[in-house]
Amino acid sequence: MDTKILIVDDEAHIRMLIEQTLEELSDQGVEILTASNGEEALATIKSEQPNLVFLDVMMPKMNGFDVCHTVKHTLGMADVYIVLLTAKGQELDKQKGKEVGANIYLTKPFDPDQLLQISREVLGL
Amino acid sequence: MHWQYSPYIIPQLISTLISASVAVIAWRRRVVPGASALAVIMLGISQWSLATTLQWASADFGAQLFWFKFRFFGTELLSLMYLVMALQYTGRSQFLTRRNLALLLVMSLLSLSALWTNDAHHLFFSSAQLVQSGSFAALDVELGPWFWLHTAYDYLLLTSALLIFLRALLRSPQFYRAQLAAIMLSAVMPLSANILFVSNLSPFPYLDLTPLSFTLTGITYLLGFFRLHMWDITPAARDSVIENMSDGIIVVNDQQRIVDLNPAAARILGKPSKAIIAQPLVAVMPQWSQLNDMDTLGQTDLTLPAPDGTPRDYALRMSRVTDQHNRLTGRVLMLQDVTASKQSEAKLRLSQARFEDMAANITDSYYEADLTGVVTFANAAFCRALERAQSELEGHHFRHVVDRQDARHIIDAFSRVYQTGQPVKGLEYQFVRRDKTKRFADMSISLMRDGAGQPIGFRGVVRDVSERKQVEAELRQARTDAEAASQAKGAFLATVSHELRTPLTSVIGFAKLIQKRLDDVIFPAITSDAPKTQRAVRQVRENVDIIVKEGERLTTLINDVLDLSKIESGKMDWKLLPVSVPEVIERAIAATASLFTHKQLPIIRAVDDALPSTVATVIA
Repeated sequence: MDTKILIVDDEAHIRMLIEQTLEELSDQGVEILTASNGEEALATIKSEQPNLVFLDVMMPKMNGFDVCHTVKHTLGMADVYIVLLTAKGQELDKQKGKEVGANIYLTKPFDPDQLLQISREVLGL
Repeated sequence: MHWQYSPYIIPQLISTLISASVAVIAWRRRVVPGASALAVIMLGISQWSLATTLQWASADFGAQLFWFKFRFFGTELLSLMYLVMALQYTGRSQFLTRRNLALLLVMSLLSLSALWTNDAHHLFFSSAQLVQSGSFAALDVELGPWFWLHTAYDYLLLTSALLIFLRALLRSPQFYRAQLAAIMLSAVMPLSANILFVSNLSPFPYLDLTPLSFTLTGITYLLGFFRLHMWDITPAARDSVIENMSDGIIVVNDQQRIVDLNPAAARILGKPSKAIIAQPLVAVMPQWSQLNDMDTLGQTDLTLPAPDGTPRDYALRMSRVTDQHNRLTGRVLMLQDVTASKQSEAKLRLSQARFEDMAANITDSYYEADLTGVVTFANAAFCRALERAQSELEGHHFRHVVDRQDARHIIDAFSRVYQTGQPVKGLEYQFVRRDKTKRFADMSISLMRDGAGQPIGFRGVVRDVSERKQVEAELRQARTDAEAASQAKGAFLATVSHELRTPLTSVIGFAKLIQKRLDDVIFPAITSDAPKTQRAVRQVRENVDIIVKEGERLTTLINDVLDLSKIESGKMDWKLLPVSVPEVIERAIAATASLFTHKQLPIIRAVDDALPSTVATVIA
């Protein structure tokens, strides 16, 4: 079975950082996908059905909350594990993340090792 | 015993019955002065008539003589009781002491004794015998000296009573005159009949018309009861009103001399009645000489000293007394003590003056309105506030006084106050001054009630609150501005922190990846043992460590800035708990120890053992 991880962030550096962090999973056969905005992310999730999504919150066109809500509620894709990444560390945002159905909420700047660990746990690798 | 018929029997019997009826009627009214005496009189007459009837009906001498004697029991009472009645009826009961009554009774008792012991002395009648008069036997009595004494005494009593009645009749108003005339007539008729009989001038031989004339007496009283309200109201009651009233009454003749006064007047003038009567009015009331226009005015106010010297106020009313030719025969003065009402009037006037002064001088507007909403009073401040003259407000409805929109509020409030009885406060409305400036007013409304508690209108105070309103608006604006500024600052800080975090994520993240790659891949690949190479490896590792550490320090700083902005915007959750200050210091030192070590600075710690704990929120 194909295992896919989608990385969504409008910042190319962050996408690169996460990609490089997950490089060893890629070596194990996990397909790493990227998207640079919310709409693109939604299209990719629909077509590729990734197992795990790292989703930035503050993005142009469609923010991470909306993407997450659409995936979890409108599309009914509850199996997609979504990790929200945000630079906003405020209580209000954590609550919002819970509301839209995100599985985990991580605050930037994150520890790459933590990201890798979460991925392994979620994917069972 | 033998009976006979005589033509006098029937009328005599009628007289008996009428007298008995009058006695019963009079007895029922015995609470009225004189009525009980009348009842006794009529009972006496009834007895006399009955005895006479039986005398006529008896055929033999013994029986006739017995009834002749028997009738004197009633006779003896009549004149005496008539005098008693006269005294009671005219309000002179004070003469009717037990002693006086006993003295008056002595003569009657002596007469009765003389009559019943006549056989022994023949003083009352010298002889008695039956004579045939027509178809019946009549008693012929030769009267003795005691009878004449008895008769003279009776006439004396009757005449005294009649004079008393006559005097009352002349002094009484029309209403009582008919009553008094009837009472006098009731006595004059039998008296005349009796005089005819005892003087032997009677046209009917042996017939004493006196008892028969009592029929007329009885009829007179019956008419009196039913037509003249006799014994419903008597002059005695009327006199006692004058005697006991608290207002003073003084009667003066045309020479301004006092001819009569009641006890209240004597008290007011401070002298006994005897010392006042017949005195000129000016002698006892010197103020009278100054009251020239009393005849035209009829009344005036007068101050007279009370017996203790304190002045008392009186309302003096004067009525002229004229005869039938409209000539002045005297004056009646009535003095009513009005000191108390004068005093309360003065208090009332003072209180009114106070109210008027206050209403005129307060800076707040004061109004009164009737139940329909028409302004009935507007003080100077209200006129100034509305820029109208008092005449432009008073008599005008509130809806013409304020703007239409506000008038509705006010009139609604009026009806609310009327329905609930509860005052309304803080009713706000706007009005526009002549210079087009908009002003705000704060109005209170309460219900005005009359003495009986009935609502009669509304009153209240109106305050110009424009300045206060303006200050309030400015305060509100300032607060809004401050809140907006605070929000802008919060939003700015959140944005700044976000913008800082994104590059920091890259810096820290990549530095950590570099560390990993170096340790996992690059350093193991370096095989050179050259000291220079080894030093470079060590330095690269240390430098990347510094990048990571400084990045993390920067993250902490950003978080602290965010916390500060949270505190300022009040979004911080305060959890106030007891906190040990030494512990806080301990933690602070632990957190910064590496910095001191790095800079090779010594940490000096000095904490008093007695430092108390405090209540605070610890931000981790």
